[in-house]
Amino acid sequence: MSDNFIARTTCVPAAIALAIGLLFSGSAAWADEKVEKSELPKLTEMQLPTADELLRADDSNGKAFDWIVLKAPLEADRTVLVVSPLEIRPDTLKTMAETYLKVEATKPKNEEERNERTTRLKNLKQLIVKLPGNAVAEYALPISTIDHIILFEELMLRRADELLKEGDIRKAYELLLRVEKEFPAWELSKPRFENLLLVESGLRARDGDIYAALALLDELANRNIDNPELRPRFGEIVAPMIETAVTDKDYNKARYLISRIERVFPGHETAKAAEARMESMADSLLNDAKQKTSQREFAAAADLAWQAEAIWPSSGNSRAVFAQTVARHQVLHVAIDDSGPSEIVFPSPRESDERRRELVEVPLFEPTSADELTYFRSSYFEIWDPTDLGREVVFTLRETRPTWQSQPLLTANQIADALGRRMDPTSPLFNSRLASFVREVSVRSPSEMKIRFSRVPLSIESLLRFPIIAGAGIADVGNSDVTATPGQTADVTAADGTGITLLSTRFTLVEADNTGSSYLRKRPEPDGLDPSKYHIAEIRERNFTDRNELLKSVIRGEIDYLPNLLPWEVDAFNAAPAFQVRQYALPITHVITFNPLSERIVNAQMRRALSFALDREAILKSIILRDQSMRYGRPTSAPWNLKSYATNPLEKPPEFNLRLAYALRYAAERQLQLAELTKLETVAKEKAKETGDKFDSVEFRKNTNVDYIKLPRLRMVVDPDPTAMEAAKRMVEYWKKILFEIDLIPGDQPGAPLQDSDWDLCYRRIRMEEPLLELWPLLTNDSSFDMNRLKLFPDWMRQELVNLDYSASFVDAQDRLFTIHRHMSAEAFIIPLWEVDEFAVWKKSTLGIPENPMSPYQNVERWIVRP
Amino acid sequence: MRKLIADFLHFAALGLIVMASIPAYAQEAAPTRDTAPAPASAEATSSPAETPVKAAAMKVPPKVVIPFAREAYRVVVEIGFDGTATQLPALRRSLVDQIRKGLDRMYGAAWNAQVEESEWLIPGGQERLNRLTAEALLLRYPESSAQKVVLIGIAESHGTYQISCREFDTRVQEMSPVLTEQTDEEQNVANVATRLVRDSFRPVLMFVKPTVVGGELEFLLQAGELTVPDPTAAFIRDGDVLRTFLRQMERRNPDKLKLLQRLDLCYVRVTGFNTELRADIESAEDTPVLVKDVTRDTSAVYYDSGHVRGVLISHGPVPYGGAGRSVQQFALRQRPAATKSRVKLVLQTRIDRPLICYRVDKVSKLRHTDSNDAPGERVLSDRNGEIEIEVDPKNPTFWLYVYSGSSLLARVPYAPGLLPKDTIKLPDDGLRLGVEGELYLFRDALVDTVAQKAVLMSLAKKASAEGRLEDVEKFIVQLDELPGQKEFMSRLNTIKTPATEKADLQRNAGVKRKIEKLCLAMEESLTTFYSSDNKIREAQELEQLRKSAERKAAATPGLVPPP
Repeated sequence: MSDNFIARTTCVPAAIALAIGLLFSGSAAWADEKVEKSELPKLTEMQLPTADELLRADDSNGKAFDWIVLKAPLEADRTVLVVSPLEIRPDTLKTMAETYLKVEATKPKNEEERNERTTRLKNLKQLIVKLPGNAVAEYALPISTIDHIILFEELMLRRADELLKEGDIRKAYELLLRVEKEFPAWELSKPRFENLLLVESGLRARDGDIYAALALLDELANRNIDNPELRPRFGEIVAPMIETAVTDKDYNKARYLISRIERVFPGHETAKAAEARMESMADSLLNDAKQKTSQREFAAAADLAWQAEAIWPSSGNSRAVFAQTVARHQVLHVAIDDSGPSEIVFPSPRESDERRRELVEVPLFEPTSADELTYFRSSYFEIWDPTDLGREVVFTLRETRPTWQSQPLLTANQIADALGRRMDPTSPLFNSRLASFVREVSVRSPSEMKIRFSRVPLSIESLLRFPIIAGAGIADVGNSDVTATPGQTADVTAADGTGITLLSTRFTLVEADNTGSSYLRKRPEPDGLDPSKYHIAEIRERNFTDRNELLKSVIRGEIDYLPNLLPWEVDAFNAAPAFQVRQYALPITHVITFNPLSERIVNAQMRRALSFALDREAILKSIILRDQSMRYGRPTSAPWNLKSYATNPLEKPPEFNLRLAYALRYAAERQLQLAELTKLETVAKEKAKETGDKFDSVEFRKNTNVDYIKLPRLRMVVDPDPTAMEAAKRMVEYWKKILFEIDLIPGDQPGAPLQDSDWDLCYRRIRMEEPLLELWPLLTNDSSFDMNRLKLFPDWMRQELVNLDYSASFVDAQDRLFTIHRHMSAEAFIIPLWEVDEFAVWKKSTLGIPENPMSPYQNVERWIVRP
Repeated sequence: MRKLIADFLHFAALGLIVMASIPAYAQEAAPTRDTAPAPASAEATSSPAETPVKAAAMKVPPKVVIPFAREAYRVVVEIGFDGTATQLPALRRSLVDQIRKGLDRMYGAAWNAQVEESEWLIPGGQERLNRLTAEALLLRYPESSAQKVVLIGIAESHGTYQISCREFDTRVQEMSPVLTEQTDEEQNVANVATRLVRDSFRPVLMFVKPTVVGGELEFLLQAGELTVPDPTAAFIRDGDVLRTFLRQMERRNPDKLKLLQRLDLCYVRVTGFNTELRADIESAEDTPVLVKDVTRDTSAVYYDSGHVRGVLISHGPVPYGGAGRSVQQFALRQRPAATKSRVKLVLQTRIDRPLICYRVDKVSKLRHTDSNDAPGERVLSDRNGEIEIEVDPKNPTFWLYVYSGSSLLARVPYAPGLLPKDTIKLPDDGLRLGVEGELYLFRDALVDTVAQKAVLMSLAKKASAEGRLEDVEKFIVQLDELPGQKEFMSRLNTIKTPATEKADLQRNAGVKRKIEKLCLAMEESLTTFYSSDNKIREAQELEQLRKSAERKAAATPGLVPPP
C-alpha cells in the first residue's frame, strides 16, 4: 500500500529550495527532525505509521499530523512534508479550490471589496501550514506545489486496511471508529467499514460462529447491498451449513438458513438449490405416507407426513395429502416437567400420577365440572335411578358408544365382579368404605344391574369413582365390541402379573423412559370417516428437566399442550395469539400434612406453632405467584377449594403471629418436659416407697431438671415441584426463627417411597374434588381407610371424620364439614397454606378442549389436533 | 345407661330372681347384647306331642328322678349324606355303625345316644348345616325328645370327604358353630366325625350355690359322676369357660319352660373340678374328733367329680348365681370353635349403626377388679365397627374396655372363639364426645391467651428494663385486649347450653350430667386462672413495670444534638 505513496519526481531542486525557504521562516520548527534539512523525505520512503503510533498521536495532546505530498516531475520523486493538522479538512485542496471558484465568481462592488477579493484569492492559492512542535510559526505553501494531501485520518484508514489484511479486526475497528468520530459518514470510511464486516464475517465463519458471520453480512447488506462480495459470501457461508443441517436432519435449521439468504437476496442460487432438494425429499416422504395409508398403517403414515412437513412445508396437492394423513392419526404433543413415571421418594399421591392414571384408567364416574359442588358423568352408565329412598340404585349400561370413545363397552357382569373384588377383604383392591356402604349387587341382565346399599350414600358418583378391574375369566366374557370393526375388538389390559386385568381403559402406555411417554388410543377410530371427524389417536408426553427449554419448545410450536402453567407465565401466554389458555375448574391447594404415625408430632401446640409461624401471604407473593397483587392465588384455610360447599365461611386463613408461635412452641416443649417429670416422679416415688423414705412431690418437681427434653427434630418431605421446594425452604426459615429444627427432604429424589418412619410432615399439592370422601385419605396419607392411621387425632375428631359417611343429607354433610373445617383450623390437623389457580395452554390448532378443565386430560378422546 | 339397667331389671322381674349381688362398679359401664328372651313357643308346639306321652305315663310306674350329676345325656345323632360315593346304602350303613360304635367307646354310659342316618338332612353338607336355625330344629326335636341333637354331614366330592358337625341343645335352644374337617380316606371318615362330635358337644351344668368363700359359684355337671371312657372327651378341664342361661319354668308345671334367657357377655371361668376329698390333710380350722374304738382311716381319697367351681364374670349386674324359685340357672361348657372372634360394636339405639374407630383395650385378667399383670392391648374398631379378638389358650376370657374420648364407655368380659361373630351394643356417647371436642378447642384458645400473655409480659418487662415507656404502655394495651374471663365464660356457655338442651331433648340425663361435669371442670379452671388474686397481682406487676420504665426513662440522658 505504501507503494502508492511513492511517486517519482524530477523536481528535486525546487523542493530543496522550498525546504530552505521554510527553514528560514521557522528555523526552530525542524529542530528535532532527524531528516536532512535540505531534503524532504520522498513519499516512497515514508513509512506508514503503526496503529499504536496513530492512536497515540490522535490523543488529546494534539500530536496528530498530516502529510502534504509535494509535486515532482516524477511520481517517485514526490516528497512529503509532515505538518500539523490542517485547518481545512477533509478534502482540503478540493474545498479550497471550490472556495476559490466561489470567490472568483463574486463581483465586488467597490474598491474595498475588490481588494478583499484579491487578497482572498491570493490566500486561496497558498496553504497555511504549521510544522509539528511549533504551534506559532505559520508557513504558506503554494497550492500549485502540492500534489495531494494525506490527512491523518486517511493514514488511519490506510493502516486499517493493513490491519484488516492481517486480520487484526479489533485495532482496525478502533481506527475506523476514530475516523468515524472525526468525519462521520466520510466517503473514504465507508468501503473500509464494509471491508471490515466482510473480513470479520469471514473470520467468524472460520471459527464456526456462523450466525455471527451471517449477522455481520446482514449488517453489510444493510449498509451496501451492492457490495460485490456480499452475494457470493452469503452463499459461501450458508451453503455448507444447509448441507450439514440436512445431513443431520435438522430441517428447521436448514429452512431457517434458506430464509436468511432469501431475505437478503431473493432468488439466491444457494437457497434455490437447497429449497428444491428439500422439497423433493418432502415429496418423497409424502408419497411413502400415502402408501402407508393405503396399507392402513396410519401411525407410520402420519409420522412420515410429519417428517415431510418438517423438511419442507407442503402446499397445493401435497398439503391436502398431508392434512388427510395426519388427521387420520392425530398426535398430541404434551410438555411435562415432572419427574416422570419413575419411582421417587415422595410418599403421597401426586398430581402427575393422577394425570397418567387419567389416561389409562377410566373410572365408572368422572368429574365433568365444578362450582360449589363437583358434577360427574359416566362413560358406562346410561341411567342410574335411585329407588327405595336411595337405598337401591338400578344402573342401566350403555349398549352402544360414539366412534370417538376408546374404552370398551362393559357388561353388568364385569362391573358386578369388579365391585365384588373391591368389597372382598382378602382382595388387594378391597375398599372398606365401599364395602361398608354396599349390601348387595345383583345383575339383572348384561346391561342392567342393581346395587342395594346398607346405608344411603350421599354421592353415589363419588363412591363409584374407580376403574373396572376384573379377573381374566370375567374379562374375557362379554368383551363384545358393538361398533368395532373385525380385528379391532378392544382387548383388556393386563394390569400386572397378578392375573387381574384392567377393563375400563382409555389409552395404553406403549413407551416410557426418562425423556417421555407415549400413549395410544385403546380402540382406534373406525375407517371411512370424514377426516374432520377423527380425534387424537396418540399422546406423546415429552419430559423436560429445564423449564426454560420447555417454554422454548412450546414457543417454537413443537408442543401442542402444556398442562400446567406457572402463575407468572399465564399473562404471557394469554397475550400470545398462537395459544389458548384455560383455567382449571379447581385450583391447586398447597397444604402441609402430618404423618399420622409419626411419634415426633408430639402435640397440638406443636402443630399450631408450626402453623402460626408462617407468613403465608409473603411466601405466596414472592415465591409461588411472583406477583404482589396475588391475582392467581390466595392464602387458604382449608385443604379444599375455598369456593367449595365444604368451606366454612367463618374460617379465615391462619394468621401470621410469630410471638404466639414461639409461645406455643415453648408450651409444646414444656408439655414434653412435664411428662418426663411425671415419669421421673413415679419412679422416685416407688423407690422411696421401697426404701421407706418420705417423698415430697413438690420438692421433687422443684429440684428436678428436665431441660434436656427438647422438641424433636422434624423431617418434611416436599412435593417434587421446584416452586414448592423453594417455598418450603422459606418456611423452614420462618420455623427456624422460633427454634424449630426441620430437615427438608426433596420429594423428587429417586428411590422407594419413604416409609412412615422416615418423615413427619409432608408438603403436598392437592386438588380435592369431593371433600366428603377425599378428606380422610388426605389426613391419613392412605387410601385403605386403615383406622390405625387415625391415631394422631383425638377421639372426637375421629368420630367427626367417621360420621361424615353417615351424613343423612347434603345439609347435614355440609354442617359436618363446616365443623371439621373449624376444628381442623383450630387444632392444625393440617396446615393449609394457599390455593393457586391453575392454567393450561394449548396451541390454537387444538380443538375440542374443555372451557374449564377438571383435569389435564378431560375428554381427551374428543380433542382434535389440526396441522 | 339407665335403660340398660331397666332392661335387666325387667328380665329379673320376670323370673322373680333374687339378685345375689349387684356390684356397684357396673352402674356406669354396662353394655347390652342381643338378649332377646327366647319364647317358649317350642314348648308350646311340643305340648300336643306331649299329651299322648303324658297319657302313656299315667300307665307306667312313677318317674324315677336321677340326680343331675348321674343323668346321662339323651342324645340324638343324625347323619346326613351328600355326594355320589355316599349314595351307596352299604357305605352309609357302615359309616353310621362306625360312628355309633365310636361314640359309644368315647362316652360310654355318659351318653344315651341314638345314632342313625337322617331322613331329613339331605343333602347333608356344610352349607346345609350352616343354614339350619334353632327354631326349625326345636320344632323337629322338642326338649322332651332329646337333650342334645348332634347333626353330622358327610359330603363326598371327587374322593374327598368333608365332614361337618353341629350340636343343638334343646334346653337352651341354641346351636353350636359348625365344625368341618376334610379327609381323603374313606376309612377315616367315621373317626373324623366322632372327633367333631366330641368337639361340638357342650356339656351342661346347673348352678347349685355360691361358695362360702372366694365369691365363686358351684355347679353340678350333668353326667359328671359317670365315667367317660375316652379321657380326651372329658367334660371339664382347666381353663374352660361356661356360658350362662336362665330357664324360668312355669310355677305350676315345673317341667314346662316359660322363658329362656341367654346371658350374653356373662361367663363363668372354671376354677375347680374333680376336687380331691382327702382325709389325711387337716386344715387349721379342723378340730379333730375322736370316736372311741374307731380308728380313722386316712388313706381314702374321693373325687368330687360331679361338682365344678367357677368365677362369674360379667359386664354388670346379672341375675345369675342367686337363689330363685322356678329358675334353672344353666351353663354350657363351650370351647373355642374358631381361632378368633369378630365382635361388632353397635349403637344400642340403632343396631345398624356400627361404632367405628372406637378405642378398645383388651386386658387379660380374671376379674375386672384384679390388677393388670400385663399391659393391655389397644385395638381400634374397623370401618364395620368390628374388632378381632384372637383366642389365647392361657387366657380364655378377656376384659374389653371401650373408650370414647376421656370416658370409659363400657367394660365387658369376652371369651373369644366361642362364637365366630358377636355383637356388643353400646350407648350413644356422641353428644358428650362433641362437647369434649369443643372443650379441647376451648382449652387451646385458653392456652393461646396464656401464651400471648406470657410473651407480652416478657416484652413489657424487657421494655421496662430498657426504659422504653411507650413500648411498655403499648404492651399493656395489648395485654388488655386479650380475651378475658368474661369472653371465655360466654364461650363456655355457648358450648354447654346447646349440648345440655340437646341431651334434654334426647331425655338422656346421664349424658347431660357428664356434659355439665365436663363444663364445670373447665369453669373451675377458668375461675382459678382469672381469680381476683391473680388479677391484682398482675395489675401490680404492670404498675411496677410502668413506674420502673418511667424512672429509667428519666434517668437516661436525652440525645445530644451533634454540634
